Amino acid sequence: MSVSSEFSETENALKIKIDGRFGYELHQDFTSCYKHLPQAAAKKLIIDLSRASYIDSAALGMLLVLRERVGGDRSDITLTGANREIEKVLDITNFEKLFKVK
Amino acid sequence: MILEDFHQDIDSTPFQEVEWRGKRVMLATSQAQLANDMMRFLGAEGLVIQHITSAEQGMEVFHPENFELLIIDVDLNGDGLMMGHRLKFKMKEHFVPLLFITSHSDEISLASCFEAGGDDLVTIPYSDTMLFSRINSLLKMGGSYHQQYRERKELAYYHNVMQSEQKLAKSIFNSIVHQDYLDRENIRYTLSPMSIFNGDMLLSAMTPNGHEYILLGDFTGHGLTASIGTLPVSEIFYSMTAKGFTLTSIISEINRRLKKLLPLEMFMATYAIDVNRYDKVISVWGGGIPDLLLKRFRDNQMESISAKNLPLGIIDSQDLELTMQVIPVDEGDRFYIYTDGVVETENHDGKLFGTQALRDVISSAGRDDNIYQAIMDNLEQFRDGYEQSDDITLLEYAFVSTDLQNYFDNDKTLPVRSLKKMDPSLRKQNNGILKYNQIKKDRLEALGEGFIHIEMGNQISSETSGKLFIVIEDSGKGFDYNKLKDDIFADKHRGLGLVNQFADKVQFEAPGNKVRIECYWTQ
Repeated sequence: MSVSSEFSETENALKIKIDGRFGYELHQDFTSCYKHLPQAAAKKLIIDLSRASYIDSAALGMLLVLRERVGGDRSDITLTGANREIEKVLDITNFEKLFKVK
Repeated sequence: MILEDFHQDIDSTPFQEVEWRGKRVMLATSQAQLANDMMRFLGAEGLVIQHITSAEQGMEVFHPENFELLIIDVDLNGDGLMMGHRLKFKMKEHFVPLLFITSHSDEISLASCFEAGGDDLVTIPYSDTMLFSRINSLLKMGGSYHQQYRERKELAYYHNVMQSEQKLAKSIFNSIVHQDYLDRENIRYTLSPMSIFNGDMLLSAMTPNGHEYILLGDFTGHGLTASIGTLPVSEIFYSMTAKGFTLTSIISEINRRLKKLLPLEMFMATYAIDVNRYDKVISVWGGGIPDLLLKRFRDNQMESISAKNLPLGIIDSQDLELTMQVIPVDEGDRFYIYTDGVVETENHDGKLFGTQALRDVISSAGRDDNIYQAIMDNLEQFRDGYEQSDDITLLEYAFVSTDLQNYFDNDKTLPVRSLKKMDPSLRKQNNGILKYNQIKKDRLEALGEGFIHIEMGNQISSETSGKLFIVIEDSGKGFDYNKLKDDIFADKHRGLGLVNQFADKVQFEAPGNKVRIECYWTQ
């Protein structure tokens, strides 16, 4: 269970990668990924879920906080590589209305 | 551990000084010389010594709260060991360190000191240095025990306080977020919080025009934090339903309030249902919650209706899609709504119960099967005693088109009451509603004839102004409208209070079976 992040020059986006269970346990690590970013630099974000096994409502809440931080309705956040379980959760909660799901 | 490390360890834990001054010691020995030597030595270090010379005296004087240390001579009247043993027994949950002094040095004698409950021993002849360090270590032991004892007591105290506070808070929650209208023959439900407080909620209420609204909510997380949001939601739901608001406006208002109240990361997954038994339809609105499952009576097929919206409390109400899905239903159709705690029920192997398992139970069930019970049994069997990890809520609702009026109080219209010659104060009494409804039913059956005459019109007085009027007259005896008390107008959301608020003029006519309401308008 871990979070890592890097800035991708080619995609001009901050990539945050989740490994393992995506839940409240990752709260601090997840927040610190973007906390020190200057607001302007973090316009575009990619959350890589290809190694995430599970997502709970606390993690959904963390995504909402991130979304607000980078501009709310003007934000550009893409969730990629979700497995079937996570896809189901995103589908049930209709989070594709707030995030791009690929 | 190599020696160097050991020394480092010692160095890093500073030696804890023990305060000797004022510590109370019981010294039990009948040897005068020994007593004198010890009292002189220990007294010089500031200890307060009570010297006793017999076991009986010791038993009488000792109370665990009166001493910090016991020193007992094994040879005291030949039964020092027995005395030590009995004093240790008397301490119960307290701890006072016990040091034996003995002139025997064979192994069996020494071992019997510890068997009798001694914490350490000193053999005669003893050296002052040895005696000093033994007492020092025992006082330290006793001191740390006392600190732990105090902390344990404090913890137990706070635990008790917290429990009684939670009990109180729980009863407040229960009276606000109540399920009073859910206990009916056509409804089965379970609300199973994983802790005292529930982050799930299940509400039902009747609208003034006989629709039933049902709301299932599941807040992010569980426990007290999750359940706090249930208070405003419940308040809004019950009060707006009673005032006849549409379910969409209730959803919109709940969303507005939650968005304002809750921190960004909290939201409420929601299913809201309007059961219309007259037109035999249910209108549903779902936000971020598992599918509603509908089991048809006619062909025994199962349908699922997915939630199309975001959970409540995330986006602004003006951005909410507030279209209801309208689904025709028939007598005996059963629908199921539930929170994700049901399908995410875990077993010992870390497997989840799953949506498919739930759908299988419902779709494979026969027309006359008790599906609710089957679901509960399956869940129980799957979990097999494994601890619950989220709040679990499930509702089964069997559609019936018959009158549910006995469960609700919503008949608030003046003419009908007058027509049936009812005493409205009856409804304010204990069990008044039931009595009222019974009498109403009897009289409606017995009623041969009667009328309610409604006249409406618009009188235009100029191009830009005029007045609307409504005249209602019934065949009842009427009532003494001069005796209407002011408090009947106080509730501006219903009855005469409501009429009085929007109308410019409300005029009763004798004998009180006719009322004229006027509203003036200008363009």
